[in-house]
Amino acid sequence: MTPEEWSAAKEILGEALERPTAERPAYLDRACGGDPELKRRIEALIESEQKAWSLMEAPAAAASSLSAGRRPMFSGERIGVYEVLEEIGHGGMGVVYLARRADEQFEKRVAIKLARVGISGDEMDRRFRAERQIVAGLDHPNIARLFDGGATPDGQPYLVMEYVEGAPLLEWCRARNLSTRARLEIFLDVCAAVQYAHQHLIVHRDLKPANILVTEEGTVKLLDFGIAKLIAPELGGDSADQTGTLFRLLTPDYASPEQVRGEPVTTASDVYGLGVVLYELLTGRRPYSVGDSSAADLVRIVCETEPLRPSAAAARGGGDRPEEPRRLARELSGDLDTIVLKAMRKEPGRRYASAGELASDVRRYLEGLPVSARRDSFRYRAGKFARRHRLEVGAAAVVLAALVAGLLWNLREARRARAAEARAERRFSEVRKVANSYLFELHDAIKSLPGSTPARALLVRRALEYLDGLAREKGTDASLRRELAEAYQKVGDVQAGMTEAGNLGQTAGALQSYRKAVAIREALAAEAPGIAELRGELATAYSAMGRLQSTMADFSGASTNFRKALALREELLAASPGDANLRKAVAGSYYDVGNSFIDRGDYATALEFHRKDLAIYEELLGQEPGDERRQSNVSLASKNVGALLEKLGDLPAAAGQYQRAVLLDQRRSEANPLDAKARLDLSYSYGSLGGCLGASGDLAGAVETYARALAIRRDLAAADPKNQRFQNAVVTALNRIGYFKAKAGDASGARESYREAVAILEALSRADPSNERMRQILAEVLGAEADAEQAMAAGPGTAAAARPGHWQQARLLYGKSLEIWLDLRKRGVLRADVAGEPDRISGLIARCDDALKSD
Amino acid sequence: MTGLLRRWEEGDKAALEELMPLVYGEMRRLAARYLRIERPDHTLQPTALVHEAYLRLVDQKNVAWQNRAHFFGIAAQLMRRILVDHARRRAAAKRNAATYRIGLEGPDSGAGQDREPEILALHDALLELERLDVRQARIVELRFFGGLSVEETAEAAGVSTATVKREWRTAKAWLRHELDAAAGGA
Repeated sequence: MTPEEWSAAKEILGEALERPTAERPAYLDRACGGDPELKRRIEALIESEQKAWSLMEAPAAAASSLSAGRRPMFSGERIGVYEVLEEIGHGGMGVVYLARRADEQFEKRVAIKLARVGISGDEMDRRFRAERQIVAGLDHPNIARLFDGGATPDGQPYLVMEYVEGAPLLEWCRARNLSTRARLEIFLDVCAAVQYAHQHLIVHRDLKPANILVTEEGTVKLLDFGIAKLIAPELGGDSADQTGTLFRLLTPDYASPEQVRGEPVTTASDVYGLGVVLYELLTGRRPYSVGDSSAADLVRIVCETEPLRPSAAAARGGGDRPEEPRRLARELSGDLDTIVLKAMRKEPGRRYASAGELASDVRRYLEGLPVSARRDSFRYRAGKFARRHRLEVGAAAVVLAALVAGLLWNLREARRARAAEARAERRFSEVRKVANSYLFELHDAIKSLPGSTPARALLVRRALEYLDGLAREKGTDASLRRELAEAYQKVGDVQAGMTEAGNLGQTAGALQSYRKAVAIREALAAEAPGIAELRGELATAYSAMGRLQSTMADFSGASTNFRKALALREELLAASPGDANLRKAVAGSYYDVGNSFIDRGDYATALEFHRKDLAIYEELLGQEPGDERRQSNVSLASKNVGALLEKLGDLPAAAGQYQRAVLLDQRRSEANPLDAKARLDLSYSYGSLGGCLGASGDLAGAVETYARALAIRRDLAAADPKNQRFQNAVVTALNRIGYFKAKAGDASGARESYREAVAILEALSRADPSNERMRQILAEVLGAEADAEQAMAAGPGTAAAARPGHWQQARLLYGKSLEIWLDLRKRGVLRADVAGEPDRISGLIARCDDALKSD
Repeated sequence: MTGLLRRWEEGDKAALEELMPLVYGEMRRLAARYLRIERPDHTLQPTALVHEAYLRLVDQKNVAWQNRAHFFGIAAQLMRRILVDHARRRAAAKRNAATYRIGLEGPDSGAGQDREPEILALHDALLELERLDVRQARIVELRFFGGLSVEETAEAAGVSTATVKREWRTAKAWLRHELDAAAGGA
């Protein structure tokens, strides 16, 4: 091609690419005239342009190993007294070189690992001195020796190890086409090495098949014992929030739940690692596919998802073992399944107590003896049953107190660190860590325990104070600002309680917190438009603020925020359509937008949005029918659709939706009897169903169904008296019972229910005067109580002498109600569907006055 | 430094030769420093690298926009040289390396993820594009090797952002076609 030819072709190509695909052929016919060769060439280029090309989507440096944090070393360069010969491996933690000792006459070959994390020479020296003696003391035929270590002049730590010529475990087994039995025998050598190290108080921390080499003669050599801790002590779990670092350094497929959560690592973590190695050795597959998961997904996958049984994994085929899948599955099912799963249990205490125990079960299997894991698993089930019935709310409170005490101690330590000015940098990160541990771990840990509301408020407020202080010191640090936004958001959540949490009724304060979170996140998203996560977090912030605004009756503010969130999320989903979390987030936004139409009284449009979110939630539940969270989402969405159907007059369809919700919530409550939210949800579902029954004319059924709801709600409110949400729920139930009793002609029963509701509402309203919606409810219930009085006054069974008392009481209650309605109207927050209330109540007052006059 | 940049801008080839080793050394030093600092989002890193180098090399008070634009140009050329040299050395190291791999494998290792041969192939194809269209090749160099945004590229190349976008798109089509042809025909 000549420059002239390219110039002409480029012109047409550029023009064609800017047109919609459908228009391109016609355009090419025209533009290329009678030149079929040119047309063919441009068509080929268009085809190339449409191929995905990830390389060109980021700057070249992103694809270079230079950016992966490896400073390259080349043959002949020195590391300490060693001369580099060549690079023999690289990975998340660093690069490995083959090297020889340069000052010796005979050649001694070693492997040198150069870590990618930069630390000061002194720090490495200190760290290394502490650990080296122990690690270097390991002398076992199946463990590669550690000889020496230090830091290069520019601060890269390195370790000098025994050079092992061999192949990684899985490759070695594959190359020799080893049977299950032979694989188990090799695995026993691995266990022996780990057991030996554990007896010398060394934990490997990063066991995986790639760290296990087998030499030509078949000798197993474990690499890197204790090295994860030397190179990256944060993997050791003595720190709170290291998920980010961990994510990059640790091989996520092999990390134990406690490591992923940043909790202390013990020998039990290595037992887990051995379990994963055995899993892969037997099935040729990894237990989880964590792939490109985000840090949050990783935690969820590793900590919550149960791995597929090895036999089931093998039955799927496609793994790295040549055997016929069904035959392999038969071989693995039973004892081997049990052994692997016991080693891989989520809770460290439920795994094998040691590598030795695991080995002895494998040996028993090989010898055809019964394995210990089965008996244990029965004992576990029995124990679990006992525990389920013993632990009650009181115990939860004790746990909570212990958590808070531990925290306060941490806080004092952080303050002490604060005083040491010489270590300013360190203090900074420590304070930040404590603040984050308040916010993310403790808050989330106690979130669903009854009685935890004040403790949560305290935690979050303290964390915020600390982060605020830090932000003043280092205002431009993006990751810190991100934490600060998170903190404001959590404070908002606790203040408003419109997420799953309970609340303290501080609506105005919550709005202010959410505003701050939104402002910071808008700025962060604008500064780094390429980072999808930041936009996702911004969407979350908009949603939270919108939900709060809708409780404050600021419907247009709420709707604006919900739509902003929906737009961001739809855009993010379009960019990665396979992302289940994003689908869920989009569903959440449909849900919010649907609710905002309900708030404004436009039920038909609301139904459209809610049907969309229900469809997504049902689809997600279909993928994992036992998932508690997905059950909850479907239940909520069904109830919304049900409510709208009811509102639009289709009662049978509505009842069907509610029954679906009751069923799912019953399942959740039974699976987890201590979960306050599941019980509250069940009570709501009963409520919806009861309402629908009542509307269909089954008044007795309605009262009975609501009584079930009320009983649950009273329990919850008694356990956590400060949780306003439970109080609200009690009020609603009382209210509905009153309504159906009144409808059934039981005016005095109705009055009792309403009276109790009014007392609770008045107390709540005093505590939180700016909550418009609560005041509206109070006005409604006062009106209803007055209606009951009026019914008693006019009722045929009431003695004439008692009538004026009832009229007077009704007059008084209507008056209180009217006062609130007028105030709401004055402030412009009167909802469309109740806009006629002030006039209606005025009319009723006049009627009471007439009745009193005529008496 | 500013003086050198100005002279280069005025067409003094010798000044460019003089400048290259200076900037190159500085960039390498910076690169080494950056690589030791962990950055959460490595796609931001090369741009940050160029900017940092720019700030260090040029006294900002005395610099007009023209100079900044030309600096981006030089920086992109240098990034290309650094990355290509690095990829060549690694390719050579790989040929010599033993047949087994050794521990410390992490999330970013594994055969499928080694993009360096692709960078080398792209570099070669870009040399061919240079022959056909110098300006277009330069835009690719600024965007891809320099890690510059569309706006910065437009500024450095002295064209509109619309031109950058169009040239970038057609260049990608051409380059991809060349790379596929080279892979298929080899």
